Formats: sequence, C-alpha cells, structure tokens
Amino acid sequence: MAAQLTPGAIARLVAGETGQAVNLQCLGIKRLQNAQAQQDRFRVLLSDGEYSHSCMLATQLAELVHNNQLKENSIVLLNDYICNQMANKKIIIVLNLTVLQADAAKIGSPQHYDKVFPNGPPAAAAPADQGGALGGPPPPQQQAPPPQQQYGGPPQGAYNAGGGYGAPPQQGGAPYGNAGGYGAPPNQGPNAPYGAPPGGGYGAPPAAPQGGGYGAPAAGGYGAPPPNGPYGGGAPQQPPPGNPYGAPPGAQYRGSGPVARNEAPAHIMPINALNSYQNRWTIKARVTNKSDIRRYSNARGEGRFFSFDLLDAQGGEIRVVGWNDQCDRWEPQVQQGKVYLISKASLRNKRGNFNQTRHQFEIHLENQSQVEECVDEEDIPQIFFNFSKIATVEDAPPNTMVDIVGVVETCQDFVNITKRDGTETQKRSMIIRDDSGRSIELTLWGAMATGSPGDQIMAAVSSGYHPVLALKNARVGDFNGKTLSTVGSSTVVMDPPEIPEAQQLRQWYDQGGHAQAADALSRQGGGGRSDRRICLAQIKEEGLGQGDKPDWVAVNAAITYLRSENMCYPACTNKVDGTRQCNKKLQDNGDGTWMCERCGGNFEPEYRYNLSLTLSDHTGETWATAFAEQGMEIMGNKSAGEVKDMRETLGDAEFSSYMQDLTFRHYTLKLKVASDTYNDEQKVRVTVVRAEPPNFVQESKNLLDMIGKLERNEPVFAPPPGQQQQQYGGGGYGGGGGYGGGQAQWGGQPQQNQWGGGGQQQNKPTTPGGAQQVL
Amino acid sequence: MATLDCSNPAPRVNAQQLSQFVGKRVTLVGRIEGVEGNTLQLRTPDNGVIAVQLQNMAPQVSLLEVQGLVNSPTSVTEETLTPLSDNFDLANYGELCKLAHSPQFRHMFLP
Repeated sequence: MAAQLTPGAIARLVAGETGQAVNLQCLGIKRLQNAQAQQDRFRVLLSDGEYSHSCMLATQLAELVHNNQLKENSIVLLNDYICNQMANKKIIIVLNLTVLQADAAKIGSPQHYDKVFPNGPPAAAAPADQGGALGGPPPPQQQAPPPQQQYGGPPQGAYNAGGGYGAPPQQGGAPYGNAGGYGAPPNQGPNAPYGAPPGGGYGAPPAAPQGGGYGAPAAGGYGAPPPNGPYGGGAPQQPPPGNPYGAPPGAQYRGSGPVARNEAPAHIMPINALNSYQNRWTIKARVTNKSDIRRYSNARGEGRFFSFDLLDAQGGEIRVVGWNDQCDRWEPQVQQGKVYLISKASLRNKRGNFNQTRHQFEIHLENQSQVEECVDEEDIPQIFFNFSKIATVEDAPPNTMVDIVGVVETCQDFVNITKRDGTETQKRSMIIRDDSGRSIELTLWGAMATGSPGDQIMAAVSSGYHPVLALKNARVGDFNGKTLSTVGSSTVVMDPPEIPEAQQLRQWYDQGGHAQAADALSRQGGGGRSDRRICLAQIKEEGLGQGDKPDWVAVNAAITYLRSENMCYPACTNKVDGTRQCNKKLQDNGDGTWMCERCGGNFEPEYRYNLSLTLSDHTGETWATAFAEQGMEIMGNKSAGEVKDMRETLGDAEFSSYMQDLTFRHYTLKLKVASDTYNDEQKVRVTVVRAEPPNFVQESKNLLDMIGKLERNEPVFAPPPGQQQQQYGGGGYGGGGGYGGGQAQWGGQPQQNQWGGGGQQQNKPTTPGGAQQVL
Repeated sequence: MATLDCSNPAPRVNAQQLSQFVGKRVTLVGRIEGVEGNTLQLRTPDNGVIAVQLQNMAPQVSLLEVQGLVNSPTSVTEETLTPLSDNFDLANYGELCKLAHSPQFRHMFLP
C-alpha cells in the first residue's frame, strides 16, 4: 500500500513544531558545495502534498543519498527534526528519517510554502483560508520567546488568555515586533520603554486588564477578520500599530523581538545530530578520553589547550577542545569517565590531522560555555567500539583510525626508543589476528607498552594464553606493510568482558580458529624489521653512507674482533632539561672529580660503551662502533662499568679470554652507515644501532624468501624501489649520531595529537611522517 | 680421520616423497598425532600422516625426528628417534624438504 503523507505537516514544521513523526515526500535533492566541510550535505525539498519546503539533511543522513535509498519522490518518515530561524528563513534540519517507499509517484501539486506565505504562516495573512486551521498550528516554541521575558510585568496568563498571540507563530512575532517597544531587547529590563507598571505605557491598564485588552480583541482579532483592532490588524511588518502605544523608535523593531535569545535549556541532542545550523544545543555525554594539557608556540605566541572525547547514549562521538583560558578553567574540572551536560560552545569543522573522532565537527569551549557534571548515566557506555576486521585495514589509507578486536598471537618485550627531542619512550610490538584471515602488527607506545596492558599481554602470551584485545582508535601505518599503533587517544582493553565481538572472537579462536592460516599484513624482519637486508660487501660496493643522509641497513654477521682498548668512557650524568642525561665525555680533574665541558661543572661519571669491533659475513667485513645498550648485548650483558672493573681486577690473560669468548658470535644487526668528517678527512662510519641474537625461525624464513627471489630471477639484496627515500627521508632519525643518547636517534613516537596552536598549523618539525615511517 | 659415510644416507623427506623411497632409509620430522601400542602417527609438514613402527619408547614431546626404513608410502619402521623442542618451525622445515627435492637443488642434497 502506498504510504500516505501527513496533511498540514509542512505548516507545522515551519511553525517550529517538533517531536511528531510525519510522512512527507521528497521532491528533490540538491548537493551543497562546501569547501570546508569534509562531508557532503544535502538539501531536500519535502512535500506534504499541499505545500513543500526545503530542508537540510543532517550529515549522518547523507549516506541515504549516497547509497540511493533516498531519491526523488521517495516517501519518508521524519522521525526527528528541528526548525531554526536563520536570517529571514526557516531552516528545517532533518535529524533522522526513515525511507518508507523509495520509489513513488509525485503526490499532488504542492506549492512552495515560502512562496505562498512569504511572510509567515497564513493565520492572519489569509485568515479565511486558515480560519479553521488556526487551532492546528500549535503555539510557537522557538520563535516567540516566553512572553514574560519580553514584557516583564504582565502575568503570562494575560497573554495566554489572548490565545491569539500564541497561536500563529510568525504572525505572533510580527505584532510583537511591530509594537517594537514591547520588548525588543529583552535584556534591557522588561519595561524600559513602558515605564514601571507593566503595560503602563499602553495606557494604564495593569496586567489583568491588559490581558483583557489584548486577549479580547485577539481572540476574535486573530482568528477572524484582520482589521479588528490595532493588533491583529495591520499586515505584518507594518509598524503603525505600534505607534499608538508610543513605541520606541524603529531601531528596536527590526526583527529583534522574536529572535531574542531563548535562555531556556535546549533539549538534549544526540551528538550525531549536532550541525552548524543550530547553535543552541545541549549534549549529554561521557568523557571517554581526556588529553593532558598541551603547549605550543607559534608566530602568534604561546598557548595551551586540552581536549577530551565524548560519547553519548546514541553512540555519537565528538571531541571538545579548550584553549588557553578555557583550558585553565575546565581542564581541572573535566574528568575522564564522568558524564557532563555541555552547551553554548561552538562547533567547528574538525581538523582531521589531530582529531580522530568520527564526527564532522569538534566543539570548542568558549567563555559562556557550560559544562555541568551529571550523575552517572548508566545508559551511556564507557566506551564505544566500531570494529573493523583486520582484513579491511589492508585497504585503509595510512593514518586512518580504526577499532579492532583481535587475538594476540605473539608479543615482544618492550624496547626503549629515544625520540628526536631526546626524551625516551617505550614501544612494544605484537601480532594480532582475527577471523578475517589476516594478522597485523600492533605497536603499543609509552605507558601502554610498559604498564597496563602491555605487561599483562606479555605475561599472558608467555604463559601460552592468547588474550583478546579490543582496540579503540588505533592508527593505521603503511610503513612496513600495514601496521597499527596506539596514539594518545587510543584505548586498549585486554579480554573485555562485555563486548560481544570479543567473546565471539574468543570462541572462534578457541574452537580451532588459532589453527587457521593468517596472512600477515605487516612485514617482519628479525632484527632489521623493514630495514634493507644486505651483505657487508655492499657497504663498499654501493657506497652506502656517502649520501647526505645516513643509510640504515640490517645484516647477519659475526663479531670477529673486539678492541679491548678504550672500550668505554666516563659519561656526564647531568640531567639536561631535567630528564635527559648529558652523556658527554667527562674530563678527569685528577683529584677524583670530573668536569663536563658542556654542562660547565663537575659531575659524577657513568661509564658507557664506545666499542670498536669488526663485523664479518661471507662477503666481507667492516669496522663498526657500538654504544651503550648495543654494547651491553655484545659484551655479554655486562655494563661498561662492570667490564672496566673486570679489566682492572682480572689478569691480562683472563680478561682477553673473556673477550675471545665474545667474538665469533652471530648477531642480527641493524647498522647506521654515515659519513663522518674527522680531521678534515671524510670517513664512512658504521654504528651498531641494534644487536640481537639471530632468530633462527625468522632467518630461515628470510632465506626461503631469498631463495624464492633467486628462483624468480628477482634481485635479492637490491633496495626496495622508491622506498629508500621514503624510509629515511623527513629527517626522522635526526642527526647527532649515536653518542648523545647512546642510542640511535629514532624518529620517535608516532605523533600523539600534536595540535596546532589556535587553529594554525603547528610548526613543529616533528611531523609523524618521518618518524612513523621509520618505525 | 674418518670420512663421512655417505653410503647409506637418510635423506630428509616429507609424506609426498615417501613413495620414491620405499625400502630405503629416510629422515622424517613431524608432529606426534598419537601413539597406539608400538605405532606412532606422525603428521609431516606437508600434512601427511605416517604410521611409524617404533622400536624405542616414544618420548613425551610433540615434535619428533625419526630415521627409519620406508615400508610403504604411508609407513616407516623407526631406527632412531630424536625429540625436538617446541621451538621448531615445521613450516620452514617443510619448505626445506620441498627445496631439497626440487629439480634445481636436488643434487645438493641427494646422492
């Protein structure tokens, strides 16, 4: 059966009525161009069979147009909508609709409501027409502010008694406006123009009589023939009727009356319905993630901000940002996990680089913004996942944020990484898989790597148990095949108890899923990860390290010689910037104290490795240098201090036999090959940035891979085309060699929401590009 | 110094190649599927199951190397057993067998 349209629906929509679902026909769809918005918006012409009106579709409904569910002549059920006054137009925003019938014939020959009633609804303009209909349109809700606000004095009853005022929305506005003086600027104090007694200006009658005065004529006046008294009479927008009342000058007339602010609390909107056409909204949502205060400095000076992500009962998510003063004001108050009512803040198009929430907008707190805590609302979940299968990550562009649920197959120990700014962080890599037949590497950063849940995951995997992880906001990287990593706003939950997807996966895995093959989306290499695997002879043959940038390569090699002189140096233990150790070589003052030239003072020494050694494989050999941690690995897990003591206490023979034992051991090594100018002489310097015992299983796989390449006549050791530049470009590694931190200067942690300042792009060079690719 | 005895080699094979070695000595590696009496079911990396007639006690491990005489394409009489640790990648081993029997590399592994 064909769907019926709701008669009179358009008039009610325009009148601002909300809350009642109506059936309408869509007569046309127009795409709106907006360079700023990232999503399409659509305007639709909706008809009730008699009249039609243009309405905006909320962005989340654009999908219906995209997938062709909603098209011309479709009959729809409007479930949720709002009417806004914009300039002189009524804009209806459709927040939620259901397509009842996609294909239908046009019903009736509707006319544009705006054209038929350019000045508003027909109550007064076409009384004959609408005489009966007057009862229909309900009292205006948004257009006419509560009377007492404008008038101050008179009891509301007086107006309501009039009935006529309330009824026709725009018309109601018109006479108010006409009277101008009635209340135009509501904030000016109710009666400024009228003098003390309400309505006094009108000619004495106080409240009650006034009510009568208005009400009486209105009752007839509005409902019936127009020229009945000054109120109902004049065509809308003509001021004269106001004059008899001694209305103030015209300046106050213009549209100011009805548009006055409605200070009543707006109804709570779903986050997904927030849109730029409505600035009066309140949302109720839980803080799922709150950032630290971040500071920035740019051309306009310094600043700070914080942000938090919200989740509401409908699963809508949006980020709220507070800058500077707002940051100071709200940061201490807003707490993760609590539920707040938020209103009177501004909506801006989000900046996708920093904001991974799925909403088109983000909320910026302003001076008048309100953030009120509510008692915890059980219906708002603590966290909302929108899971994708790992297989879909294969085609996801880098930097996409995804929610994934996966089983941990393997987990590595965390490693320390020195970021470009010299600070240290930790990362822990693991392989997760799901029932889509794919596996992917996931890297946890910072506290997640070392503390919860990194430690628990590691412990579980080491004991042979494979936990299920639910990841929210993991970032897709494309450096090493496809990878996932956590960012500041990520959440990782191990064995979540209340997530059905996690339980399904658990069952799948336990009931044989673990035995199924999974294609790895992330490439793996034992020591070298993505670094190009070479043979030592290639360093010379290809002139590695002679370019502007260092080359980073991986080799399988044995240490064939370890120099036992000058194996370590006394390093300055002064903390630069409070956290980072100076590590510069100290000068012996000869009196048991040590002086640092850089820090300008005496500091306690800490011995650090500066090992010289030769590496050999079946093609050749090279000198290399190894510092702190790599030195430990090579020196049998003894610190430089311990080895120095051994050297001083053991006899020569004993010590050299210890050193002998350390040679001819095989390692998978990651090397930095770079030019170094020393005494005006340019030399290629090889630095060990990672040394690990070979992983035989992985190395066997590599060999099989190489044999496969040989059989297919593909180059085995050639650099991956075009990848070299990408890998090492962007200065992700930073210069400085390994001396400073005793470690290679890695690119650093994938950027965690490095917001720009005040809407400007941040000028930090630590873009995630180089850094993340490197890792 | 004694030279390596190559007269009676026990080439590494998978279930697939067993038919070419009936009556000869081979080396098999696989996962123990089960033991019944003195017959051990061994699953090879290429997913074949071979009945191994035991002469020795079966060790309590999951991965095993067996040297023995091939009776039929699905059965071998064991001569020696070597238990392997769990840190052994059967897939890699399977690839090795495949390569060792491939025409290009056969000469490097088989007499």
